Amino acid sequence: MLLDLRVFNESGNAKFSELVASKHPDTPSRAKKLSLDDSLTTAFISSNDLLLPTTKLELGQMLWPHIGPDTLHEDKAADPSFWNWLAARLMSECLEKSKSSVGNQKRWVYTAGSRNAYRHLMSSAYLIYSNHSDDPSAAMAILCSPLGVFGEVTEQILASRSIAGSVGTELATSLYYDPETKKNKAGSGGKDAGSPRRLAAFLNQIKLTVDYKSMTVPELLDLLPEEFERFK
Amino acid sequence: MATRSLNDTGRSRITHEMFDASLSRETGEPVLKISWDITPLSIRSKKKLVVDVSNDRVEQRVELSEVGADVGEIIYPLSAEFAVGVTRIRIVAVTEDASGIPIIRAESVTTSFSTSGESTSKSILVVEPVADLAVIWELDFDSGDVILKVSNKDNLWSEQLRQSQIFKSTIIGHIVYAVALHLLATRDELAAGLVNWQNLLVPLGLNIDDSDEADVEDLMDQARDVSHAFQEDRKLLSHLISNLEEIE
Repeated sequence: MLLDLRVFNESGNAKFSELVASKHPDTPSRAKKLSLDDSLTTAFISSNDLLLPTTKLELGQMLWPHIGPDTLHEDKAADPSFWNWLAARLMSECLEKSKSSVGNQKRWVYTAGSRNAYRHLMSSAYLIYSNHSDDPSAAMAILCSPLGVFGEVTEQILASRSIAGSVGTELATSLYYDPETKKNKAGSGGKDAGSPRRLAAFLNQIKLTVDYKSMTVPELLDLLPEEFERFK
Repeated sequence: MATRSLNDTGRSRITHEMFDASLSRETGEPVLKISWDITPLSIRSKKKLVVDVSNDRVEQRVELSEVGADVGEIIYPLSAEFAVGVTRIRIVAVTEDASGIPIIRAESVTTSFSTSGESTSKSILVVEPVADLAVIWELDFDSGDVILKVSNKDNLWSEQLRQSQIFKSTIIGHIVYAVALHLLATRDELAAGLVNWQNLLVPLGLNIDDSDEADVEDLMDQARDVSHAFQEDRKLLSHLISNLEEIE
């Protein structure tokens, strides 16, 4: 359980950035210590229903009632200090579950700019949930994955805002997510024919002439080249 | 002449003369106001007009006109996501082909709005005051526009630099140099904001056609020459001297 949601102050943000950049082997536990330091953080929500999320879906479900639209703290959804705090708080749990290392700094420290902002693990997971809050099942290709794992589907879909913010996420779910196993299909993490990388390339190519954002998933499935057949 | 261009797919361009857009954030609730007149495009088939609104994180689509009226106005409240930071809009006119596939018949250049309310429909350089910027200023090309981020620590921009012609005239040469070098070094298709810069700098000597084969030092030399030409053309040195004389 998290018990509260906080934001880093200026000093907290700076210390967390330095820590992640240091690549110290003990970074996850040090990050958690920073996140619980009252001199570096300010709590804005205290609650007993903040269950520790393990997937992107659970993160969205946990945060939505507190920072979703028209809530008292909706501004936190666009506040890097909140996303950095959450990354610091959850880093050790995320890495323990995924058995991976800290890796790319931008996964944990929010970096502004259209080519970087989407790389943040926490912020991007919530963003996708937020875009599909009325029907999260439409975004399961991204939301199904463990919180600490970015993954090829997430990378390719989120790298283009026009795809992530439109029917593109639903199309990826339709192609790559298997509702029976509740996981993405084998091969969806590759770079070959029919892969998420090829899907993003296809959508980015046709967008010069076709307004795919106003199309439905079945219409787009009909339009896809043959290489995507194996995932249909 | 430069050959790279965004508008190479046969679709028409909705120019700045055909629409007026503003983004109000005065009460903390962003409100987009757009008026348009696309009659010069003479799109006779049934069409839909939409505007894609985006920032670094999200994109939101607003329908301007279900019936595709050539002339109209809309006031639309945006989500709180767009209350701060740079917001970009792009207007698109969509028709359907014979098989019902939505085709982009016309689109506008991207217009960006900074937190301070400035937009690229008025200027090709948008200034974005940033409270926690660690340097005095820096350029950001990520969005496809040229965004000048200026430190607003202790209200440095809003109370001092915003009014300072001396600050502006001393940095503009560096900005032009950086933009020219970026244009020379960029191999991808240019975004709309940079196309406007390209159009401005080509008459001043920017030669993108041969940049693929040039080495870095040649590109830097060319960018410097373009910056010099720009500064001479705009008589920046004379402006600086007269501004300093006024202060004295």
